[in-house]
Amino acid sequence: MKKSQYKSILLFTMIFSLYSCNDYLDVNENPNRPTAVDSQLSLTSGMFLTAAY
Amino acid sequence: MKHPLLLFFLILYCCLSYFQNSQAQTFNGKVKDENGDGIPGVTILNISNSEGTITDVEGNFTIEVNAGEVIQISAIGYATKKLTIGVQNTRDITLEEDVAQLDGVVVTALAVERDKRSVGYAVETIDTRVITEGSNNDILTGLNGRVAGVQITQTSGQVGAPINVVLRGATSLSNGNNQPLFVVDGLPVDNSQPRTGNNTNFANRIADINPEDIASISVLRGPAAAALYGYRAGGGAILINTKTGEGASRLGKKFDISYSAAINFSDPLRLPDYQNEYGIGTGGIYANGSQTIFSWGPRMEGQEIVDFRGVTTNLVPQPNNVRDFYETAVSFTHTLSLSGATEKSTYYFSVADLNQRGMVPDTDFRRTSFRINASTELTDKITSSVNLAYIRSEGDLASGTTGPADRNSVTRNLNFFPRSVDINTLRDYRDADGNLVNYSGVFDNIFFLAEENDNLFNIDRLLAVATINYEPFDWLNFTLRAGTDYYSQSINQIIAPGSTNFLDGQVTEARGNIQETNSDFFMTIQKDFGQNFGIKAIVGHNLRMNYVNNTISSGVGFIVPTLFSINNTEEQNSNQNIQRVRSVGAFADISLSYKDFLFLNLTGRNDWISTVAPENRSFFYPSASLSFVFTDALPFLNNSSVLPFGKLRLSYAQAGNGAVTPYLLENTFSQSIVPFSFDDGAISLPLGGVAGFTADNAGENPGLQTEDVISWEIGTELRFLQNRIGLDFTYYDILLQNSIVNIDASSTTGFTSRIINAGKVRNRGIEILLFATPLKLNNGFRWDFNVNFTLNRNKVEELPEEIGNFVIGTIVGSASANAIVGEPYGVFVGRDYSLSPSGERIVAENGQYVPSDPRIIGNPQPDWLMGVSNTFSFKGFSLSFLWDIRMGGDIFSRTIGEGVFSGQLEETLRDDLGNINTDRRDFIVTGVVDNGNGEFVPNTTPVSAEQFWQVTPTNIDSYGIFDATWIRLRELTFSYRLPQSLLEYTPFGMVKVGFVGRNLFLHTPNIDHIDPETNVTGIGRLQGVDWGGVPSARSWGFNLNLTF
Repeated sequence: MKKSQYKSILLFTMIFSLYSCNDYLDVNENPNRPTAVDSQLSLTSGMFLTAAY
Repeated sequence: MKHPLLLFFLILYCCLSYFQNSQAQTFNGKVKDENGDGIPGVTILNISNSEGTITDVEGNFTIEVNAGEVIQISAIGYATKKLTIGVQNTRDITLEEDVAQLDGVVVTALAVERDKRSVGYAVETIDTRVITEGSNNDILTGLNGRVAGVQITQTSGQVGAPINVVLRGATSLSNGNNQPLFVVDGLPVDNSQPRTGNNTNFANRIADINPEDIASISVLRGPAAAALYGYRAGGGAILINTKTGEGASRLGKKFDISYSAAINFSDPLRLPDYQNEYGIGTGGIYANGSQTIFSWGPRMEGQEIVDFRGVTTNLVPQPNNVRDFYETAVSFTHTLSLSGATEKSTYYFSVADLNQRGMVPDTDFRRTSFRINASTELTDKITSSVNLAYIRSEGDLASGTTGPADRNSVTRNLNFFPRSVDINTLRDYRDADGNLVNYSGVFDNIFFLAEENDNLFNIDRLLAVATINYEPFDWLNFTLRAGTDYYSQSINQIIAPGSTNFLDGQVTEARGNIQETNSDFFMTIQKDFGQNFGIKAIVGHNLRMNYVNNTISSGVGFIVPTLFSINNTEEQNSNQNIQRVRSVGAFADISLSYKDFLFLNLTGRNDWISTVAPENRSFFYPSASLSFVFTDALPFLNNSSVLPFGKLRLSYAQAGNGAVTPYLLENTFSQSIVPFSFDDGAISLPLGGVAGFTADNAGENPGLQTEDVISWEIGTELRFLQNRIGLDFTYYDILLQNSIVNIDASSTTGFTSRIINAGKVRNRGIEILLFATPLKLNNGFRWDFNVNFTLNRNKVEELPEEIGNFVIGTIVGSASANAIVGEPYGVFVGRDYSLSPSGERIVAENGQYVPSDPRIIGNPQPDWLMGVSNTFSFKGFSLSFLWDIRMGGDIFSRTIGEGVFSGQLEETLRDDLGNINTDRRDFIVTGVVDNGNGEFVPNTTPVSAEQFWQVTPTNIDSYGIFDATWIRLRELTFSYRLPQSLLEYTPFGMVKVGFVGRNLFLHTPNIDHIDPETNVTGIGRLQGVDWGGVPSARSWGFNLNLTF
């Protein structure tokens, strides 16, 4: 096998390796709704009842 | 003297022989198919010196060859022939089609081509000619009835209607839509159906692919075949490869220009059988439409009445008033393509336009697409290709039905349309002052709905795939393929002021961006070891990014009645939904072969998926398959003319069933909607700058995992009698476990529900494909026969302990499609007739049937499906029929229930037992009454026909359950290809004209009024529900295909 051919294989293997990245998958944070809210903004069921009457 | 003479002749013979053998002659020939048409692109090879040529467009060739030498004539799809050259220097050669060779190569997962004999799982390659010759506007319509193991449902007759496709049975309880993965040119693509909440049936997006661009379709029916797609393989996959310029090259042409055109006309296939005895009114008394819309009025005898316009007229039946509402739909399609090849490159370019006008007035659909596919050899070792397509789809559709209070669905309006109202009197739906003209205060003028209430949409889509292949050695290949499927959609729905449900009007704007991006990088090693062993190994990885950003904004109450903008509304609301899914996959595929008759394939794929917790996100999916060509392995079967080919296959696979829906791992909060008990009103926050959040009802589940699919299958492929008869048989067993379900949560948790992994659904079944050529005559006549048979048995095997009954989809009131342990997927649950201990229907004191508590009342899963096609061809003529048979399985029809409720259907002239009751007399319902002592006595209380027919379908859900068995002539095509001799002095290489009819015949022994091939919600988990949709279409038309 020629040297250049080994280089080619190495290059493709490197491309393959570069793709591996843990951060890539950390996208599961909800962009639509908060997962925690300040207590001042949180309406409890008691407040609901107050509003309803 | 004898000896010298003998010697002389011997020398002469040798000389002549030498002379004959040494003098090359020019041999001219023409290669024809069995119809006598010349075959272009056939390879002619002189075996002695390996020199060759190919036939021209008309099948002619010239080759230098010596007498006594052998030439080999070979072409894809035909049996190779050898011919010893004699003294003749011209000859016609006829090649026969080679069935075995035709299925020689199949496209499998990752768009990898494999010898079909080596494949140990069920994969079916579809001849794309059947799709284009049928003038099908989309791929799935063309596949309907043609593939074993596949259930395809055309959900309505609306233009561009969604088409549901399920391979080997449904499984998803709440996390998917049971559709297979679609892959175009190696790129997984989006096939979702846009939804906005009003059940308008927008097409699922695989409809964007122009059928004329397709070169091949492979249906990977099970997880084993699709295993390399890992967590997306559970529902099988449909692989679509588009055309390249290689086609022109094979034809022996530098380039090829093709043009195809089709025109099709459609009408409703089936409308209800109406009664034409009684007109608008109630209790037998005439009323104009402001008081009622029902057809329970007086007998129509021509008596004078004052109609809704205040016009004195005669009360007479309008037998065609519903039919007159529909228009004849017309569709035009044009595709122009240019393809070609040079020594190192190929190209294919097409532009296509589909323009449809629907059966419902003011509905239309248009799809315009452009495609460029090109490939080139950059160097001796590197090739690259690009596949680019831009598609624009746009149109205006009719609204679907959302529920019993819906007055906005055009076609549901017809479920109540009175038998005495001339629909033509409604066409001018506004009077001179601009006021709405209507027969009813309950439903809108149907032409007003059709003309002024819009469901406008447009979709701009780009499909782009780039592939680079690097082959440093003939046994080693690297492939890098990256592509994206991106589209933006815009939906604009307007309910004009004056609509019964929305007097002040409403507008909804839905905007979305959807992007599916994938890259695959894999290395392929293929090597033979000696003559007996071979290995093919693929190692690689996949990156996937899916992004969805949908915003739906709506405004209610137009302030200026003629301006349909959200800015011009009294109340506005907006909701945005963004979803991101990413995954990384690493896969390996090893195929070992022994003597070309035994093949073992092992695959493994590990996926890391973003939508589950990091500690749980790794999933491994293995598969194994074995293929054994026993006719090559067993000496006594070698070269058998009775059984020339026989293969056994066996496979096992584990796969996933799609990613978990994003963002289910954590609790979320939403802006509050605060109710007021005193007036049933509510305010939505934020209001005046004040915000407030409340916790959402669904509790978190950080441990959620993907659904698992475990599958095994066994099958055989046999060819008999010189490939004149073929049989493929498969038995499969697919178990979905860890199903994602939403269950009620304990009140102590603070949530009303939570999502967990629990539940199992199993599909078992058989698939049979039988094809034969019963007749093949020397004069070119040929009869091809093809049957596919699908039998699937579906069972919910396990659900969480907390629930024994999971609602897959609510239909109306207490009726729903459910998963129940021990029952098939999606059984209909609702109120049935209450029965006495002896099995008689219980009747209440008012003389009406007593409904039961909700229980199983129907099963939408068919017993079996069968497609039967016959094709007769002679010379250039071809006649083909495709029969589609469905046995069993129920449909829940609200159309029929509402039709009898309103008094418009023929049944309302009968009693509960079906006896004639043309006078609509009161009758006594057959049943028993509980006398209070635990005894049941015959019912003696009469009810009016009107009361009976209104109460029964309302109270008894099972009234709407019907067996959906059908036999239909799904497709009929007749085509004629002009002989080459006629085209000799024209610019055309091929001219073909054809007639196409679809749904020309329908027989449904157990249901009248509707075509049971329908579904109100389009694609998805809830199937088998009919509710006032656009009726299915019977269509016919003509097509033309030209090449230059």
